[in-house]
Amino acid sequence: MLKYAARRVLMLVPVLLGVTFIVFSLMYLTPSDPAQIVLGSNATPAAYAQMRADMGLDRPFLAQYLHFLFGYKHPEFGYRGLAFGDLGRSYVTNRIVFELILSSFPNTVILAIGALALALAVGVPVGVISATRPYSTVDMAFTVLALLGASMPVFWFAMVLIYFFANRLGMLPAMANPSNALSLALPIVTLSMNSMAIIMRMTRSSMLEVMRQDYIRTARVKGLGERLVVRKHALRNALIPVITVAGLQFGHLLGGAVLTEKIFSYPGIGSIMVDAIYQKDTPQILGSVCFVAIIFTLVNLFVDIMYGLIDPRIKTAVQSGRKKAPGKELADALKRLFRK
Amino acid sequence: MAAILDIRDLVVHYSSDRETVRAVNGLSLSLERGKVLGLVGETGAGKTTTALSVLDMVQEPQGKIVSGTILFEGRDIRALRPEEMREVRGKEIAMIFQDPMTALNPLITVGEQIAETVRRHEGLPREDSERRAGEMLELVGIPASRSRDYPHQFSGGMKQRVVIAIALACNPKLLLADEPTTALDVTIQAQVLEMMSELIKKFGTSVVMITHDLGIVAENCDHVATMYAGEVVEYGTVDQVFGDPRHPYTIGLFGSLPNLDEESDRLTPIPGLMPDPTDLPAGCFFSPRCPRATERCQAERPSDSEEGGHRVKCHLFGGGKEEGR
Repeated sequence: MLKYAARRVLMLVPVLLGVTFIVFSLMYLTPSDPAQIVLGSNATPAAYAQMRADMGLDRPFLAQYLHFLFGYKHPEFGYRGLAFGDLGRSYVTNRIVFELILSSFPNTVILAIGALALALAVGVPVGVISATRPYSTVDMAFTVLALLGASMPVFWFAMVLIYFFANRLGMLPAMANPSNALSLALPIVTLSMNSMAIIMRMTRSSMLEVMRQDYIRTARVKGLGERLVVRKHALRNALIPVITVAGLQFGHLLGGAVLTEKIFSYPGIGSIMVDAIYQKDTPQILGSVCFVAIIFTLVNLFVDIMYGLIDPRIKTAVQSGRKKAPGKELADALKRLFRK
Repeated sequence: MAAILDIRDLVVHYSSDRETVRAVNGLSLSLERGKVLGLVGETGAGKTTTALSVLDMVQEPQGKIVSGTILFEGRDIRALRPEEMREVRGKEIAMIFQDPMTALNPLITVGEQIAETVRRHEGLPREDSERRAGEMLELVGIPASRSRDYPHQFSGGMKQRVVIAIALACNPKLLLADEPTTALDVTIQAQVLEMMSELIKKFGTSVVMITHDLGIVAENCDHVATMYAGEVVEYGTVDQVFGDPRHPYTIGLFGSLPNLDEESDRLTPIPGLMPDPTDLPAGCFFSPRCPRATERCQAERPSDSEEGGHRVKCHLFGGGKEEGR
């Protein structure tokens, strides 16, 4: 199990290389110039050229990428590189890049956990109810709600919530911050809506699938009541794909709550990323993206380990290293890509 | 002897929006206490549906018992309330399914899968039910120490032993065995079958053995019922049916078997296919394939004729006397 986890963590390296290379290239290709951002628009051409040289921006593209990975030596703009966990300082705020990320990330985690917990707490039971009465009125109603939830744009839904609960009713604040639990209600609901719909649909289809299995018939033939059949025999089996989906959702929530955080002016990593992009703050953008990629991969690893806890077949497969555990399609695809 | 199971004029349909599958069409059967009845017929003859009907487990909402009575120890199964039916299932009537690979829950230890039946019906505390599970495993030839293992750690034959252990855990009066060895290797088939028949004798269980293997019937059963298109076309003791098969379909089944005593190059299969259960022929269901069918066979449904307990549903045997044999 440890060996397996270690292997998965090592796979972070190609993932990060791929992600950073893409983002770095994009930043390189955008017309913005960090030297100009630092100096402002009134600098002389000579000072401007000097600044470009100081920041290493006059070097070729690959050299700059290598700087980013393994460090850049300069008394003012130097840093030790991604490999050593140092991306220097933000061009705009002059704060250390990872410091800002680490201070905002816990805020995002709070939102993500809240949203996922809400999504699971509602999505799974509703999915089960739907699956045990397929095509009934109840099922239809839930299906329509789930479709709404999955297709409603986040920004619009957030606006509606703010309008009702903050503007009209005045019950909940429209601006969220981590020190006020009540203010988290609206962003958590906003954020969880999508995951809730997906988890519910997944639970439903997975339950329907499992309820058709022979072992469910066996359980019924034993004379077990329908409740026990559903809870003990069906639900656990049905949850396996739901866990995959929930894990992926959690990864998204941790990295991609950009819209929600922005709308509720919440100081999470999504907000930081957006601000950094507005300000063309290259080190901060790269730092945030790398961080999110790392978190996403680790969450996936965690999900795969969770499988072993729920499914004995996977535990033995993982322990003996014979078979791949499911749910690591991304890592596998990347692995294949880098082998070729 | 009193019949433990008596099915009369059972009709089961599976319907969808477009069509109705007539799976069982007026089937009548009875099984004496402590006996083994072999139910033979092609795939799609309605054998499994018949067994599921006895447990009132025909899959709803598509499947439905349309009419007929099923008496288990004189009680009408169809009149029982759902919770009463659940008392019968697993305790008085147990069922073994065809495919052991899928019949066990992959996430629950085999010991628990046996123990939960015992707990359900005998109200034993957890420890006692687990001990019983161990005993049942030993009984089917698996060390009790393996009760903490999961199904994927067992081979197909051992899984079927576990399935049998589950079925027999509460010492049921009636066992419905739906092709219990079809999914197994031939060598394993013999072992499992032998073990099963020993246990059946030991517990005095009455059994409906569904199979399409006539050899299994000859070795293990007391009575045979041949099913075709949802009805029993011939019924009798193994001696009667094997010694003197009467219905052309039964004769056809024997013709499809290799005979070791005679030199022959080819088997004689029954020509044609089972009729489409959504569109059964008028008259005798077997008439389109029957080598001896007459005009009457195509127009008129045959009724049962009986002679010394040997029952045949065929116009050739009307009124107890044999015609044209």
